[in-house]
Amino acid sequence: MVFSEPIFLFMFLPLSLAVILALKGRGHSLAILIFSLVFYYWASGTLTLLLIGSILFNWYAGRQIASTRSIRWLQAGIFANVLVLGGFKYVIFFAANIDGLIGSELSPSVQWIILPIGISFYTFQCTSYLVDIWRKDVEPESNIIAFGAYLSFFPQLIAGPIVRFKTVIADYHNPKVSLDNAAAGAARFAHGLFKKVVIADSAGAITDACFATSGGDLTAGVAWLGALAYTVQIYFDFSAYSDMAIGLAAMCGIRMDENFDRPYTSSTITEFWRRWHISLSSWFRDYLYIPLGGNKGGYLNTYRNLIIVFLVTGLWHGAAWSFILWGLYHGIFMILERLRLGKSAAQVDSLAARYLY
Amino acid sequence: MEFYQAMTGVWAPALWVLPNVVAEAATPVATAGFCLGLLSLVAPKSQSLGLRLTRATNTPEAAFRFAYMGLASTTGAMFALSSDFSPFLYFRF
Repeated sequence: MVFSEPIFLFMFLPLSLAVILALKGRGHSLAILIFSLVFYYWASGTLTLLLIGSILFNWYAGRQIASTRSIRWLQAGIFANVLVLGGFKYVIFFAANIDGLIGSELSPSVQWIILPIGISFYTFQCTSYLVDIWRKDVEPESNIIAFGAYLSFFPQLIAGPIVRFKTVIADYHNPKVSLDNAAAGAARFAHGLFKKVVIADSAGAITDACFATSGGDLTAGVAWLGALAYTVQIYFDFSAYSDMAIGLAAMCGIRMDENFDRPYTSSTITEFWRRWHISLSSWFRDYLYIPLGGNKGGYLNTYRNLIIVFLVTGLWHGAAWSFILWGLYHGIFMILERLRLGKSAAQVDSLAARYLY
Repeated sequence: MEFYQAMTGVWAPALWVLPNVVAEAATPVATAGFCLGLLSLVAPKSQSLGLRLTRATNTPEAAFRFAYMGLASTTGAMFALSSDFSPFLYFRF
């Protein structure tokens, strides 16, 4: 069940909103938690148990970190989240590579592993929650229902944005339900629905046809049309999901930060990453780039940190060498732009020159 | 690689001919939707319809929001009911 399916639009959405908005206080969070688990079960079946396990474990680990101030709890929490993500998302990839290197036969024994929907998003939310408690940026949540509602919130559970606990938890305790928020949320949701089914899916039909051609049919026109259509499809598809998530959350009285800011108008790759999937790039900035040293420690350390962050960003997007190379490509451009290229590119006013770059 | 190689043949006019499978996919509705998406590439940086809808503060903005919501939700629902279901791309992550 996804946002653009009739069963969601005409059954799940009205029913869940009616119940969530009718309840206040703990009832509001409890209703969100129950509907979110039903929503997730619809898509993932018994893998919902993994989500419930994540809620229980991270809630408990957060409280232990705060009460004991033991770094062991933080390390155990991060390790557990990385293990869950790695186990479900990367084991098949690593097994195939090990098989290729040493001729072992690990791959067949791990083919049964299924990637739980949204695991990349909710494990990142868990990790930032634990780190923020350790840094004393937030207090651990005492109410497991509110924490469960935050982690499993169905509008953003399966494709983001990656929402920081500290930015939204107040709204779970005291939701900002109002007619104005409901109107804004409904309009934003409708905007996302339009972007998805009218623009992204239209571009997607052209993309699929272009990508399916080969041999003599694969002309320059088809190749460029396919690339352009995919460029439109991926932005409108993903930003539509974010619009719908932000809109649904607003209707439930919960405010979410923006996840896109016109990324294709960027003049540089650096600017692009400030505007595309903002919740992910800011997550990597705060929980990987800065802990690695950020831009302190000289040019070489900064460049090393950028490459590491973008390699991991690539790996986050998919367990394949193509994604790792894609991350490396972006990391190299980030370095080149820090050297000089970025200043030159940012000074270009011409629209054509910007897109050529 | 075949795809990238094809992109380099831009100067041969005959290579711009679209095969039937692509021409059939590019229906008038699909082409219109795609072109609407392309407009976002050339729109000014400062304009964001999503933010404008969220932050309507006066009566004209609220009226625009209401009108846009009616149009977008009706069109969106019609497309959702009449077209094949297509999952979101980012689900795979």
